[in-house]
Amino acid sequence: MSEGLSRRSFIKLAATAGAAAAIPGCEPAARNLIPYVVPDENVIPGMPTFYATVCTECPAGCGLVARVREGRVIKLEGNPADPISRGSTCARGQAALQEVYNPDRLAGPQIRGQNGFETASWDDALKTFNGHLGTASKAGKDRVAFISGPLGPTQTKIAQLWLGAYGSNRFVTYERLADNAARVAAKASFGRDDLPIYHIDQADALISFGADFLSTWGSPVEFHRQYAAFRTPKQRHGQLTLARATYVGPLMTMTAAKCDEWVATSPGDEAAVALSVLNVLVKQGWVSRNSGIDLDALRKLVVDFEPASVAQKTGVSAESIMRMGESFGQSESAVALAGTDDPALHNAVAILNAVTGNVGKTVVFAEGGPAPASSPADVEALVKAMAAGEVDVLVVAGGNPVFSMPVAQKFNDAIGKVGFVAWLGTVPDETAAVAHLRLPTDHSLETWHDTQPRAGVHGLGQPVMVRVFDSRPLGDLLLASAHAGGAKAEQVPWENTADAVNAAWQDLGTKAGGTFDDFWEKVRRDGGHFEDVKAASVSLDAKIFQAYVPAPQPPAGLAVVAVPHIFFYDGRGANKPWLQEIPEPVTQLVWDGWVQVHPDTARSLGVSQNGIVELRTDAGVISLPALISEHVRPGVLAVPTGQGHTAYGRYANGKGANVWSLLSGWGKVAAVKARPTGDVRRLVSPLFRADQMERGIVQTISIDDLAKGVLPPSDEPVPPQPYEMYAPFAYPVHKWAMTVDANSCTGCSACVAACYAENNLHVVGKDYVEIGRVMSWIRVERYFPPKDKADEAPLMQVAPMLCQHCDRAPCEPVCPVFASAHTKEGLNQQIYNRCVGTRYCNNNCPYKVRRFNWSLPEWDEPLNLQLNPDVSVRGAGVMEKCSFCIQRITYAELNALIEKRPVRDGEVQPACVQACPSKAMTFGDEDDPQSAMMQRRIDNKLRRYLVLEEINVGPNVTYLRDIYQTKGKA
Amino acid sequence: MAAAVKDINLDPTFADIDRSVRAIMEPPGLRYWLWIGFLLALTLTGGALWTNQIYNGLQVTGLGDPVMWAVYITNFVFWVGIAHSGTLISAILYLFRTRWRTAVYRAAETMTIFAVATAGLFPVIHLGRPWFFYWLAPYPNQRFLQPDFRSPLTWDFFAISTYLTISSLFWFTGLIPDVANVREIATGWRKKFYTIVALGWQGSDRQWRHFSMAYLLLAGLATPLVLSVHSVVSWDFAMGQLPGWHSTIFAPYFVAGAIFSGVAMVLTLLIPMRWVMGLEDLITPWHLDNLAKVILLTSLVVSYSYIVESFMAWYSQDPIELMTFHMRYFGPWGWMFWVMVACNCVIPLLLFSPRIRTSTVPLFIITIFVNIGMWFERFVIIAGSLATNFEPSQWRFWHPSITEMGITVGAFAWFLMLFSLFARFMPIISMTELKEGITWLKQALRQGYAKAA
Amino acid sequence: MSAEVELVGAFADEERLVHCIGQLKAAQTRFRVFSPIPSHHINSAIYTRSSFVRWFVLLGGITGIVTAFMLTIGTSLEWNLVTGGKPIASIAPYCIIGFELMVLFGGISALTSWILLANLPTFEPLSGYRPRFSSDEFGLVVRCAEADAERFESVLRDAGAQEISREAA
Repeated sequence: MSEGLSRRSFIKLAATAGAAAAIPGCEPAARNLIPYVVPDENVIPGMPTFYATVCTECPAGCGLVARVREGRVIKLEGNPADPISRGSTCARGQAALQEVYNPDRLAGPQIRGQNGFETASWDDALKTFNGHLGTASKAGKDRVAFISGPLGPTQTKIAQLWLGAYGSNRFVTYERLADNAARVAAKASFGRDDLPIYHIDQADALISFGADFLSTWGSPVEFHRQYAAFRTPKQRHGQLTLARATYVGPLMTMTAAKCDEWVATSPGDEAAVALSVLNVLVKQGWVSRNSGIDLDALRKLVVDFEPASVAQKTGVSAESIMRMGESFGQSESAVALAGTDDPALHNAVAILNAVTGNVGKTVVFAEGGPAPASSPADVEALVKAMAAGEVDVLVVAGGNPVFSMPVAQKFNDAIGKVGFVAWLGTVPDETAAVAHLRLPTDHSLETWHDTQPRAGVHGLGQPVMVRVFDSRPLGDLLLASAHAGGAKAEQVPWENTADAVNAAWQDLGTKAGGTFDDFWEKVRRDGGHFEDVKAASVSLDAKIFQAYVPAPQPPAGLAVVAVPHIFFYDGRGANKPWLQEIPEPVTQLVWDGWVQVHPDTARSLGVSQNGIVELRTDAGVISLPALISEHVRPGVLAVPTGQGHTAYGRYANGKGANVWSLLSGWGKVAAVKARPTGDVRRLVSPLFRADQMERGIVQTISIDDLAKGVLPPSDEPVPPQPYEMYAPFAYPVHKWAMTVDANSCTGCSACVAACYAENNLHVVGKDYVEIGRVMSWIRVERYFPPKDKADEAPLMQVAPMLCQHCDRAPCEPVCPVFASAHTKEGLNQQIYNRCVGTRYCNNNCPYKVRRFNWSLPEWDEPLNLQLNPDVSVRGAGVMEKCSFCIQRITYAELNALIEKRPVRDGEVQPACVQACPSKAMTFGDEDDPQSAMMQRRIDNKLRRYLVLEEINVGPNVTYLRDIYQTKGKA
Repeated sequence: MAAAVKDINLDPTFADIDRSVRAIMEPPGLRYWLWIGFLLALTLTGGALWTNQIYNGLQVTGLGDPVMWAVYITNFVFWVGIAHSGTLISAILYLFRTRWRTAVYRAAETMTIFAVATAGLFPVIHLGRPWFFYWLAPYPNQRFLQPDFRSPLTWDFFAISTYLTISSLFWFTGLIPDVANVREIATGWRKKFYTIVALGWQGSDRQWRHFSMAYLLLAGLATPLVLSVHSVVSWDFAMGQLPGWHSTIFAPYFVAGAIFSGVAMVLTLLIPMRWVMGLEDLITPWHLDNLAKVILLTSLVVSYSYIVESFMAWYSQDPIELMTFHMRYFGPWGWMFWVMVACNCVIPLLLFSPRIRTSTVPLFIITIFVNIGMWFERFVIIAGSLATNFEPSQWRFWHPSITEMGITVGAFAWFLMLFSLFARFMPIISMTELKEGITWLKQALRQGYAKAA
Repeated sequence: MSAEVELVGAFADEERLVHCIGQLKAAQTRFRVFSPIPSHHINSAIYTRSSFVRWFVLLGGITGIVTAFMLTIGTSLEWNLVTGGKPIASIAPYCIIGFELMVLFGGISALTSWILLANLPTFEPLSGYRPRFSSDEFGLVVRCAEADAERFESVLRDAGAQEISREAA
């Protein structure tokens, strides 16, 4: 697999080097199909070009490869050379395209006038901009301030230089979901300014205290890959075992659902549980002797946290705590993660990792990490200054503080006190709405930038296409402004961002050795410079035991918890139609916000499903429809972040409510009063039943059965090919097929987003999803085990469901016009031009993976520029479905033909397979037993199954059973 | 049957029969034209809704995954079913030389033609791209690409079009002597029209000789055709492997259901017609009684099929099959099933009483119930099974849209309009066969074997 | 050879007509019958062999079956598209097409053949036809030499013809 990947990546990246250079820096906005008047040699109509770049959707900083056709980026894929993404992406990364082509992007500079914003020429806009800056800098020091999201080293440097040019150093990076408590804890317990690098794959046991590491915490794509390795059964002490994962937190998030056990705590109790686990370790003497820590101090610290008493205080069962302690203490290496904003918890977790000797093994601090981002204190200082009228000009370049800033900061009042607010960005948001000047900046795919997500990883973002709108690179704007502000050439040496990045990488190049040109060539091909880091030797600071801060008491009564949404993140994803339409993995809800309530709580509140609930905290009040579910701790009201926009584009506005407005502090928890308003708003999901009624759609096997080598009694295998009437057809060249590992699949839906991007699927909106008109070719089947079977099943059963390309496809012979037929390579093909729309095929499809075009697909301009020219856009009235990305198969086969060689294994990768961050899917040739796809089947004989095998349609997608540990067992 | 013979009116001479039938065909009055106008309005409304649907795509319906077939296909099967009694009465009973058919068969056959004409619309209406409907037919094209003859829908196309053709030929052949008869008294444009339709028929021995043979053979061909057509329609579902569709009993079950609903529809039309047009002395209680008996019999067959279907589901112990049937009885659409049972299995049992069989008003009401019940039967089978399919995550129940309801109403109006027009302008009762029947009976009585009737 | 005449006799009753036909056949003269109803008495009284229509229908039916299988198998082989893992030429489903086309062709040939054999469509009335022969009376038209006219008139009258008219042929 990885073999094939690296080869494929080579083919792609070979094209990159020259092409990158050929991208013109700043041209007037061009929206034609081929934006070059004179196409340069890299634009061969019909041939894709690939550029390596870096994703900026979240701080994880995954490396990307952008597929460009006729000068337009049409698809983003993981960069196989990048140590973080390793060729995968998440749904958010895929959807970055919908920000580039977002119809709500700022088309040109705007100045606030009497009646709203008025479009202005760049000259006027910049004159105003620099004018205000000039007056402000004359008024004194630090009269100018700059707020942005994480910018990456070079752009940060530019911004600071620019501030310097105007005599200020009020530079603040604002990231609402930044893990501030972790930084504090790292400092306190290990005296480090940087965050550790985690190696989950090296661990045998994992406890996550509210760290949703598969969706939003840290580096989800990387953690997906690590967690898949972590969950692969391994021989330990001569026995096949499954590494045990436990999630401690108030809500069963996607991460929790993929763990063996979800320990439901009230928000804030995680620390107590962590210390109680520590207590078990200490008592059992599982604390590693050589970790050189003061055992007595440790004993003193945990003495009050007997499992029994903690259980009695927090309502967590003592058995669970014992189990955690046991699995954690007895494993050779383990890892504990802390995701809440409670410093006490972070300290406890740091101790937990340290005393078991896992720091340096699964938790590694490395030298040369990135400069720390601004702390909450820095942000608060700036806001105070603004409120005090000490800031004349505020420049906001991302982060959308108006939307997500803690209410107690009174940011809105503060920004009102600022004389002149300039907003620089792509899609205008709530912050842009209160600005005086709005300047459109390039999307990171349109400009030079770089990232340093962690030590040893320097991502290089190069422009992959000419800008779509009349925007400018943020760096160029600031540099120009700096020079206009009279900055000397020796202070601000560069003309534009490209120079700056180039210059910044000079010293990296010299470190790497060799000529800079070769280095530059290489990093642009690889999408960055990656070096092995040496782990810093750190030791637990003994003071931590004394300096231990007691955990804050969880709010009495009801608590509202803001849960970072896997797709919307802090809210930046909400204006991307794909992310609105793809169901949230656990709840499977679309196009809305909701408050998740436990049935008991709901009963006591008198709340019913879909009934609107009013949530009132000391900070604010919002109303949301209720989702009644067992997957939240009683007394907790869980609300996903990201919805509730008021000024963030057509897809985001007026959906759900903004949970940030309920939180006065930097945390994500608050005491809340809830009451049903009596109104009702239907929450919509494309899935109907959560119970698979023992139909074996997502099948499971316990690790014990797997070790014993027996099948679960429930799924006796059906004798192969029982009732064949006709001889099977031979597939002379290839027989394409897929293997899907339900054990690796987390339900993250990156595959779904990739399919939307690759195959020109259109979004239909909430109303049509409700009546079953969603167009996704691949969906995540999400089921929960019935209560009586809960002990013998995983918490959640997920697997992707796509066209199974059956050998005896029921959809084919019922079509009167041959619109659905079989190819010589074993694909079940749908010929759109021939389809008359009887819809009989879908009626006869047992997997219900066919999609009908009820209406004519439409894309708001310029989203249509993202459409993949290799895939025809379907009209109204025709059936469509997964084609195994036949355009990619053909592309590979043609290349093979030209190069007079057979198609290599792994050379063909459907979009879903390529995107999957945990590599749960493998695609290949069934005729070739050596193919990775077949190998995966052969290596997992016991876990193989076919969905609905008994109806004998001969599906070509083989699934591998999800593995679970019987509950109540360590 | 001796009793029955008494009911037959032996008095009318040929002249009397002609007089009463010709009387129907007098130029109609204002009330008739108002009725036609009303139906035309409804039909046009349906047409307008369809036009809108073609323009905007099927999004104007309530359809969605997984219920991709609902009202339209239900209507299709319903009307094909209605179409069956006609040929049954005219062809099968003709072969059995059943005498009571003579008075009613023309009406039944006419109903068949127009019912098929209505049914034929729906497969086109429900298409995603109706302008390509002809791709279902084999026609010469440079690609030489023809339909997939393995598809039940292609079988449908052949079965329905064959059925329409054959029953039209049969109907037309039977019409010729009657039209010739009317031709002789008609005046003005009617005379021209009838002259052309009658093809110059004069009833010479030679004409009768070939006519009779052709009529006999057409009846012989139509008989297996009737059985095949609804079997093929049932295979649209039985050939699918969806639980609730995939069943071997479907062919006989659907045929019985078709005759059941068809004969009911015949009565629904005949009872008002004989009252409005004053045909009481030609269409006598004796005829109604016989038709009611057919309804009763087929009702029992249909009830039996329901039981067998459920039994098979239980006997298979296939959880998916069982769940489908459980949902059919007690699911969100359970009420439809129980409506269907009441209308198709319980209410028709009243027909065991001879008094009800021969009294028009109760009979009329019962037939209405049967029509409703049979419509729901088709809906329960088609949409109900789709809604509860293999994939629990993909279940969903359907809600109708104005378009679907409007087009359904329009189809009923269209059918009634065609029928009403025919009833007034063409001999809705076969004079020739009535005369033949009476001649035969007179001789029979004289030779004292009337019991043969 | 003397001129010929046509005697048109109208009958109210089928049986007498049939009786009369017997005599005429015995007399080996040419005659034509008009009847408002199909009557196998009349038919069998006149003709001994049954209509050719059945052979045309048989022919049509066979043609239908052959056409159906040629069409289905031929077009499948032309494109040999695999659907549902079934053989390219799947005979079982094609039998349905075979049956339908058999009925269709048979029916069409039945109609066309009887119309043609009956000399229809025509718009010159046959000689001796009276409108009421389509309604309530049977007609018997005897064609004979003027010399024999008297004799046949009496035959008709004895047979019970209500009125007899004589026309030049």
